Amino acid sequence: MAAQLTFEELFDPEFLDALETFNLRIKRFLRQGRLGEQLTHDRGIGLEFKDFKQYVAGDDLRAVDWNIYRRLGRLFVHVFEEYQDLPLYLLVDRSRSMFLEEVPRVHAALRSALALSSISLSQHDVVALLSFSNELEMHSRPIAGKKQLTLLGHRMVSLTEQEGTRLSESIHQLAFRKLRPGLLVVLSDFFDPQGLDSVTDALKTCRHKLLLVQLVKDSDSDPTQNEELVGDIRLVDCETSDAVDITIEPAVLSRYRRIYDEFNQRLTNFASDQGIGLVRLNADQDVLNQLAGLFESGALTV
Amino acid sequence: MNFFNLSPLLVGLGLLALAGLLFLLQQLRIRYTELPVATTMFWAAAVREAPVRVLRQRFRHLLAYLLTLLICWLLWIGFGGPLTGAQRTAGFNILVIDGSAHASTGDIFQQSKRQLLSDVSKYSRDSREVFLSGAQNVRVLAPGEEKLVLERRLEEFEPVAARSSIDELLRLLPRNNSYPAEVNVVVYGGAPISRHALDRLPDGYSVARRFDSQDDFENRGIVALGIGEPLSGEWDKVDVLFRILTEGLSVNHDDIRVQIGDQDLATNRLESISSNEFRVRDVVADGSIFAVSIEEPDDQHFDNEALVTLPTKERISISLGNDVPTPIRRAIDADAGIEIVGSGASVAVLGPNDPESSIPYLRTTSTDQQPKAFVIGYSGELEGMEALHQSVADLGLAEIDSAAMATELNRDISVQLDYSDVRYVSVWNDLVSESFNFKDSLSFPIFVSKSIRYLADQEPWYAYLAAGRQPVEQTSGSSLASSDLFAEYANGASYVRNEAGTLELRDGTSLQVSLLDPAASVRTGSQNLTDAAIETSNAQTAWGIATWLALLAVVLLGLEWYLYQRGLMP
Repeated sequence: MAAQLTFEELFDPEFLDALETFNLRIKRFLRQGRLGEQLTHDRGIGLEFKDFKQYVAGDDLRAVDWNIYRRLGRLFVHVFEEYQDLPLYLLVDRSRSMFLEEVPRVHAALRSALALSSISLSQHDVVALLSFSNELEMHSRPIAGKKQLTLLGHRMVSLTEQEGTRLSESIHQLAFRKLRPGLLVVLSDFFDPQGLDSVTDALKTCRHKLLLVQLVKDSDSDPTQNEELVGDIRLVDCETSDAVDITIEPAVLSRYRRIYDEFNQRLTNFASDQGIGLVRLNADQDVLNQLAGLFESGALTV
Repeated sequence: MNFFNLSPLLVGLGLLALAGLLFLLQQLRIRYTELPVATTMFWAAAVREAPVRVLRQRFRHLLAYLLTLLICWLLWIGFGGPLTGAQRTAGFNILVIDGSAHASTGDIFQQSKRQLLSDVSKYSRDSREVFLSGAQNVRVLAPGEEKLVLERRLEEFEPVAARSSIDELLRLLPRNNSYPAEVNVVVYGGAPISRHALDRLPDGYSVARRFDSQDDFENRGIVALGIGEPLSGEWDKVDVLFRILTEGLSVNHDDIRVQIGDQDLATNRLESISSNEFRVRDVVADGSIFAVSIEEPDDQHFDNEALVTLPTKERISISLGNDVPTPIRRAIDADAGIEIVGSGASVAVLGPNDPESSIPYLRTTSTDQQPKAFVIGYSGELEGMEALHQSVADLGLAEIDSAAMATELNRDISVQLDYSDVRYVSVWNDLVSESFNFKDSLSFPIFVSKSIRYLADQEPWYAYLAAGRQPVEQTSGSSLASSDLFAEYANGASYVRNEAGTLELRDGTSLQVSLLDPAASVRTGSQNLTDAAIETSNAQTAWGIATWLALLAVVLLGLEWYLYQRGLMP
């Protein structure tokens, strides 16, 4: 098992400074939030005029356009664009597969989560930290304020290795929690033994906007980079302990690459079809550089 | 092509062992190194598309296994060379390679050896034994020994100037109780086997010949060389006779060279008795070596020379008593090998009234003093009837017409043997008197001569010393005409020596032994004895089968490689 990240390693000031210019935006936001920086479909009490609408009981009398009433004798109220805060739910995979190998995927996952937390908190959004393995766990209820980033950092480094990956069930469990609709960021390798179909089916039922962060490694697509993967070997799944006896030979490697590519393509197609954001982060490479690519224009819009 | 030879049981066990070994190899292939990975989902899917071999689960590559097994089995059978058909018998196989003079012709021995080495591996190791039949029968490969041992041992052997001892081997084989009831004897080479030797083999024994001698055989060889008393009667000389047989060639005086000691014999002394028999008369019996050789080369070189050691003849000194009967005195006077001395005699000849002697003596006595006609004082080591018969033969008494004597005297004529410290022969005076007709018979001087030589106990000399034959002893009085010079002797008799050469005696003297084997010198005559009972064994079949099986295995190996390259083999 790889060494767990310390708080100092994770909470790198330079890393956090580099995130200052990044924004996280959502294309269509949901109602019921607090005022914030995310543009909503609600016509509320913002500053920028959007439209008129006929007055109904309960509307704010301050918004009544009395000039129209004087001319037409009917009550219309001003409708303004409303900006609300974005609840950001960080769902971190803490199954064994995330902690395996020399450079574990969980390092990149936590750095990404911290980056997103920093960006969200700096734009007055609320951030909640959740993790999943066999079960869903909430480590931090939605909190706001940039000062809360330290708290989130501590919570993140305290995430230890659990057992398997049951993402689909964790999504279902998330639905039972009365959380305000927001952006659910799933940071995982998506190696759910129940298969990708069960994961996508579960994600379809999710009432949050979704951003999938897939943690990959170079050896996923090219197993020959794993120097131990030669000859006759018994591959043991670190989560299920299932064993696969295999002889590494060109034909087998070719079949593996084709199956792995199909897996990624299915995930990509799912995200595309469902309007879900999908980010593929290489755990073997620098996270900041990869995030900089994603936030190329300064903002990542989901 | 095959490396070794196995019984069907061992071949079958080998097939099973190969099947088990291949199965184990497949087991070994799945003992993988364990490696933990993030997920096995993709690998499992890849394996499901092209599964690897697994142990104790569904055997996914049965055809590949069968193909491999077939190849291994074919190679096993091909190289194992199991015995088939006539080769594989329930009995024991005795292979005999002839190393006698017969095998010295051309390269018969080398060909026989190659054929033997080729054939020996076709028999199972426990059911074959190999003998080399030269001067003696030498076991060169015991049951269970490897073929390589045989190759190394045979390198030490070359044909020797000896007559074939295969007959002797056939006589001895049935005495070995370790052999099963069925024994197959295969002879490599053209040495003759006598009908008698074949006939006396017990049931269950069969004899076959694997490799015969060459057809274009040309030879002339000395087949007999013997010594006899001279026709001239000279006491210190002998006549020497020899016979030369030819096949495809002729012989004349100019081809024959005779040496006595270091001296060549003048050609005019060589007499022709017949077209192939020759005689040299009055050769001085001084103990030198008489050698006959044929100058021109031919196919058999062992019979181009024959030697015999001439006897050393010495006169016997006797003393005569005053009362010796006149017929005995006349017979002594006529014998050139006897001289009468005053003192220092080795034998005394006494009359009825002469005093006793302390040296061996021949004496006459009255019928009153001696109940038997002949009384022999014997000092040898033989006992009973054997001693009596030997003494009667030595004295020539068997040649006496005792019935006529008995009729004339009206008394029984019989012989009595007494054991004595001093040898003596005592005979009734009446039998050797002037008035009795025994003195006129031919056997009388022989009796007198032989009796004196018997009493002098002279060492016998050998008229005929042939390899593997009984010696013919000559003592006195016999001539070449009466010696059994050209007689064939029964096999199984005690051999003087089976290989030509010098025979060292215990007293330090040496004698020359020559091959003198007509069967080795000419093929006609000897073949009739043997070939009728011999059939050729056919040991070539299995070699071909083994070769074809191995070739088929190679073809299948090529097929397997082709399938593997095409991805059709795991």
